Amino acid sequence: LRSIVFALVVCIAAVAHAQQLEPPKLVDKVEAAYPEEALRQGLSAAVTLELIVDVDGHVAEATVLAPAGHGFDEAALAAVKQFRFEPGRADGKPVPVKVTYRYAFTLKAPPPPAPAPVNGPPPTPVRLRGTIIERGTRTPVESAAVMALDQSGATVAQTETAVDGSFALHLVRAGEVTIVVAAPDHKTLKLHEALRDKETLTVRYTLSRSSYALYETTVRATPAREEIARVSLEGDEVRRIPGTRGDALAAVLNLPSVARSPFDLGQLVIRGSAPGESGAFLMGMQIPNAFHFGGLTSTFNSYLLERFDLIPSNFSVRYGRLTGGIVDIVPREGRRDRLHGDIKMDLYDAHVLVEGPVGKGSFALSARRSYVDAFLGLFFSSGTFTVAPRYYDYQAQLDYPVGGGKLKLLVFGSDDDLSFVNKTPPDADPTLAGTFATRQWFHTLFASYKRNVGRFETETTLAVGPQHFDGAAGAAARFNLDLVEADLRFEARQRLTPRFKLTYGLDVVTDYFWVSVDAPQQTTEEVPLGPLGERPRVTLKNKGFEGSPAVYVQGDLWAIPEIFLVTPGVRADYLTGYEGIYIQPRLMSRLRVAREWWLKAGVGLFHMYQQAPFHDEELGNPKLRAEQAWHFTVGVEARPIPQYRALRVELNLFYKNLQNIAVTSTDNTQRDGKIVPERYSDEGVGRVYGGDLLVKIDNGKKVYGWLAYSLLKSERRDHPGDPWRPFQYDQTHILTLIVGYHLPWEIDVGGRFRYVTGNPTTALGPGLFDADQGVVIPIPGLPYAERLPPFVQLDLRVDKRFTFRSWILSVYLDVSNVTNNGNVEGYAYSYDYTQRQAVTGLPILPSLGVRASF
Amino acid sequence: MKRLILAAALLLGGCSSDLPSASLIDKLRVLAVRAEPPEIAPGETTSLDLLAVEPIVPQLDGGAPQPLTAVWLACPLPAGTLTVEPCLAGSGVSVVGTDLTAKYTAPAGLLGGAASTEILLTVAVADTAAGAGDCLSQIANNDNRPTDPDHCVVSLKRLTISDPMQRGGGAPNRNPTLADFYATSPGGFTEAVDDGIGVWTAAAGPDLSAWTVAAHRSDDAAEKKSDGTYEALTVSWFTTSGHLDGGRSLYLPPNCTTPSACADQLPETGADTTWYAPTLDQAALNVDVAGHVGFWAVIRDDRGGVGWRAGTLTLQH
Repeated sequence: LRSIVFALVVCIAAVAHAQQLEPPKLVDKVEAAYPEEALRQGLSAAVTLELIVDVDGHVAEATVLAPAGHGFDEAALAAVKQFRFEPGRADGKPVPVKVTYRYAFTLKAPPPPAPAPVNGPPPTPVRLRGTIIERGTRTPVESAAVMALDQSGATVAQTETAVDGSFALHLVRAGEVTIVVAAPDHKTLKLHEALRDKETLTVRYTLSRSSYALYETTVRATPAREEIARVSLEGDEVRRIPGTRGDALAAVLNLPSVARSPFDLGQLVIRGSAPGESGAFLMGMQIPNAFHFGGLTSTFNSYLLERFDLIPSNFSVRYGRLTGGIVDIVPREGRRDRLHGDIKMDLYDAHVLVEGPVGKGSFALSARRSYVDAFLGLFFSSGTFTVAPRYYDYQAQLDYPVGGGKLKLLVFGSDDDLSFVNKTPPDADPTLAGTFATRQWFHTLFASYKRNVGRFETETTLAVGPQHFDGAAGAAARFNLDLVEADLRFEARQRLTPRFKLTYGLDVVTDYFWVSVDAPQQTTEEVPLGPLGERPRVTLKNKGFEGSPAVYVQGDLWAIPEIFLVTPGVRADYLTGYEGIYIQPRLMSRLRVAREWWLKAGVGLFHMYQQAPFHDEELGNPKLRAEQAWHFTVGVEARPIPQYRALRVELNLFYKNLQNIAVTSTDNTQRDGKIVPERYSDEGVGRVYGGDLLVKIDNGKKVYGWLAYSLLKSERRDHPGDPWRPFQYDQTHILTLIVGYHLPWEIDVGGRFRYVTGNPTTALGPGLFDADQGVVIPIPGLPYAERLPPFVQLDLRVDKRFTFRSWILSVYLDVSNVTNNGNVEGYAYSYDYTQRQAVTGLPILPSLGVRASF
Repeated sequence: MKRLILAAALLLGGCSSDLPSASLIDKLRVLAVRAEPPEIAPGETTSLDLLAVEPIVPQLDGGAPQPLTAVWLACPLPAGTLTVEPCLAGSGVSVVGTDLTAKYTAPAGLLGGAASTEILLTVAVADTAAGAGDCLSQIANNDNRPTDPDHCVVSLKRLTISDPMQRGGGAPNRNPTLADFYATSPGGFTEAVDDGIGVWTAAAGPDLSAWTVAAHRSDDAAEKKSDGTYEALTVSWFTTSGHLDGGRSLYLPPNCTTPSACADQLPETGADTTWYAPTLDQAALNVDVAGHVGFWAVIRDDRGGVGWRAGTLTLQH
């Protein structure tokens, strides 16, 4: 009467995220007693549990994650505590591991009475055989109960499906039977079959899932992770956030401490740091561009993501050359069960994804292209756009076991192109006439190989490929950069004792570049942008090699097993063009104060290059020191309601001290024996302090979503003695509420509400007439002393899924800014700066999308 | 670059706004400041004048305007200066003149061996009873911020002082000039703007309001610079009534959209814009009883050279 379904292993407790681990194997399973109450009521159910399997293979702890009631939970708990496992291993040594089990109870009819023996039992023939697959996904359904009932409703045969969904029913007699197929989380199938004598009928039945929108684990709260505040998003729900057009990575912009960039341009402004101080990584290597221009969509296909992690500060020594936060994108492997395909189209772009098995491994191919250019041509006169906004990206991926290890090859490329002509110069800046163009592309081969060598678990990753970026802003600026980048990361992990793991790493980035610039001198953040023609024009043509190696070492010490984890580390960076080696110590710790309550704290030093061209020998000041930041974070994370473990709460308080920020200098300095303009100095400093809160529903079967709120101050002081002022993107309150609900009939509805304090802005006042340019030079007020009105927006989304026998069709309507709120993104000024007018963001914008997958 | 794109978005976003247009003269404006010649050697003298204009129908915001007054100042401009401040105080500031025209003579030893330097000319023009001198004092006391921008305009002009022996064989810059200035009615009749007899008709409907206003540059206006490229030439258009669709036009080489991309080609000789004539109701606000509408065209090169033509069209009933 019982069946056990060995479920997915989803979270691993005793090791860090990047470690290779052999999961525990179940060697002795104990069947649970079917609850009497459920038996009486004829109920089937599944209970999801979390088990901690100790180093001896015993179940040290078992917790119900998704209760089913009716006595199922208690029965499942009692059974799993008697399980025996082959323990999980890391570096060949047993380690405690946390796994998730789904324990399914399927009600079956009692076996039919055995026929009276006549000269020994005659063989019972197989009269019906076949397979059970899931409707839409065509995934084999394991452990489904298959029963044959006679005309009186009595069970005459029964069996269970195997791992591949196959079954065989032995029936004594032929004739009309009713076949009943039942499996947890699926709708029961009932149909009639006519079985003939001396024949075996072969069938294939499809079962419909009760719900195709299972919101699986979405935020990992594994306590043994390194970082203090790592938020990981995965699964289906991140593709259903209203206003993001199904782009999973865009969800990162809705997490705590991530500021909203003007016009939602997709800049990463994390915990009060400047956009260039944070970065996106793929397979541990930094990528030049996480989003296509305008923040419209991410460059990496959402459907090839396993997950992505946002680490807003205090990231581990594995990451460097940044002082803000990071987003780490983890691609998934291609599926191996069969060939899969996926096509998605919406208002802006379309993608095709194909994946499947290849030998012992898997492959995945994906391509996407926008067609914004096609419909923009309908609205704008010919010649306005020389190249309309166009982007494409692609991923080609192979995962294959090689030489006892795992090889992953990924070719990832992206190309954005936009060019338009502004024939009429604006009054305020005559240089903004002519061709506006930007093009950015990269094509990178990522190769990663993981293998255990003796006591070491090693991982080597190489990223090689060309990149290009050019831009033109009318007559004001032209810029071109080409480079070939080759980066290498080698990491080895060694568990010295069951409580202590050591990680060593080498992280090298190199490139050869060709650059040309003809543009106004670049200003730093504190200088308001006036007419571009007013600034000195600078030109540069250069090429050269840059190489920046770094080494790091980190220890993970469970000072008290499962209670207190201390993670000290140090990273040493050599930054091309800067003097000396930058030693960056970092320390993180986590302390479990109650069963589901963790306290955490971290401190660390971070260095990075100055933004181009501030440190350039010709365009900037080569004597600038590298930017520096100290991060301090304390926090608590908990599942505060034991009866509702899906609810997760995380609260962090943080402080960042920023040093060596480049600011514009009007002084002269002596360089190589000559008096030259200093252009920039590094005497700017900054401070960021505040807190952020995340309240999230994980594993929500009906309701999902989160509330993210940040309260912070990000301030800068440009020169010693100056007063502190707000940072350009200082947003005191950042509130995001996302709620989704899974309705019957495979319909999902969701909403996103955002309230964000308006960005600081520098008011421009009437100024002086530049008779050479024919424009008025504005006189700025105090830097960022004024604020734009708050940003308030509501987005809604409806998804409908149609499940056919072998494929699934999804349709969605995503409506951004449903209240058509005119959010102010900045001000446009009259030619003489005596009047100004608000420039608002996008109005209400519906987007219809359709997706087909098989 | 994203910062630049954002700035461009804000600037371009204001293009179709309700903000006052730079090409409509509705108060005291300085449209150009000229040094003739625009580039001199140490010891040489240049003549300074300016194009200061007012609306034909005075705006009633404080009484009838007073006669224009001006004050000219000069000071050295260090190379690489990011933020240009007017010559109001400090060492090296000299008063060059107190009329609408002036003369400036570059000191003989100004260059000190350098190939060139720049002098910053600051000129205040006021239509107030207190005059331009008072205006300058108020600005100096207000952290260089204009206190009455509708009645006192402070303009800056860079004057190039160069050593003739170090010009690399290139001739000193000359001011560009305009060869003509005319308007073509919707019906195809061309009226010279600056001959005093041109006429305009009030718009009877949208299709009848669009005039083409055009000006040809002089043949020698586009000079070749020492690097072999041509000067980038623009013309700014102004009027006292109606609406100019595009207050600035470029003299571009054929099939070129961005001057810097085709600077080695000789620019076309013509440039134009569209003037939407006012209806009679609109004209009642800013056209005098004689029906005069003022027009100005100011041509600039990218080295500080400037020239202009001005005129009026008279309403034909």
